[in-house]
Amino acid sequence: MGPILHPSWAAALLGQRVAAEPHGWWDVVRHDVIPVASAYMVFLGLLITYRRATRRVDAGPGHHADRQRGDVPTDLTPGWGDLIRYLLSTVAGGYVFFLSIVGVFYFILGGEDLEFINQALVEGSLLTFALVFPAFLLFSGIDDLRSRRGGQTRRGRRRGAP
Amino acid sequence: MIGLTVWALLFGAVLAYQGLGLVRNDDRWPALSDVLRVTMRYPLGRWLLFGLWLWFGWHLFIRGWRFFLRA
Repeated sequence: MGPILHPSWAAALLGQRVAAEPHGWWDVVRHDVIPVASAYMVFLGLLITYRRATRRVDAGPGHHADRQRGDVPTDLTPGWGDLIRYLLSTVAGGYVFFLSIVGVFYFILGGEDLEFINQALVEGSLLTFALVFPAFLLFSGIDDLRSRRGGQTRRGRRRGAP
Repeated sequence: MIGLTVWALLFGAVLAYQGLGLVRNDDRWPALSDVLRVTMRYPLGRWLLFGLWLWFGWHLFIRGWRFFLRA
């Protein structure tokens, strides 16, 4: 099948695949097996977290304190300071996790050089702190404005919480 | 081509699971959206999900289209 039969994205994808053809079992393990196994472990971890959390709720009113565990704001009237702290902790922690993904899967297992890590650090920080964080704040502001115009008070709304 | 087929099967399995979770909406088969909502109650879960989301967006919008984990 000639490349002309593929859509452009598929041709680029296949060309890249050929360029990254594994050279041995270790290449397959580090490029394919470990990433997929890690993703599966994350998936299992999410399911276990869900199961444990719903078990606590099912256990009845005696476990009410357990339901409050976690970092969801229990105060239903948070201000902008609370929201900014909440968002900053989320994006900063997520950014560190993103860098750890790049470090483990691209630098250690993928054999990329330090230039690649620097690129991820700069581009990831731009994406996180110059784009995503202001966007979250903007959307929260729009949501707050709409709520006020709709005659709702901020009481009873869990702004910023997922 | 085998790699693409396996990836397609994996994504198909995830979508099928989500469909099953939505149709049988109980704790035995929770939908992925329910699982993510519960996970985001915890700081560690939020960091993990935001990190993965960031990594995905970094691939799509900054690095350009590259097959996952193939630098």
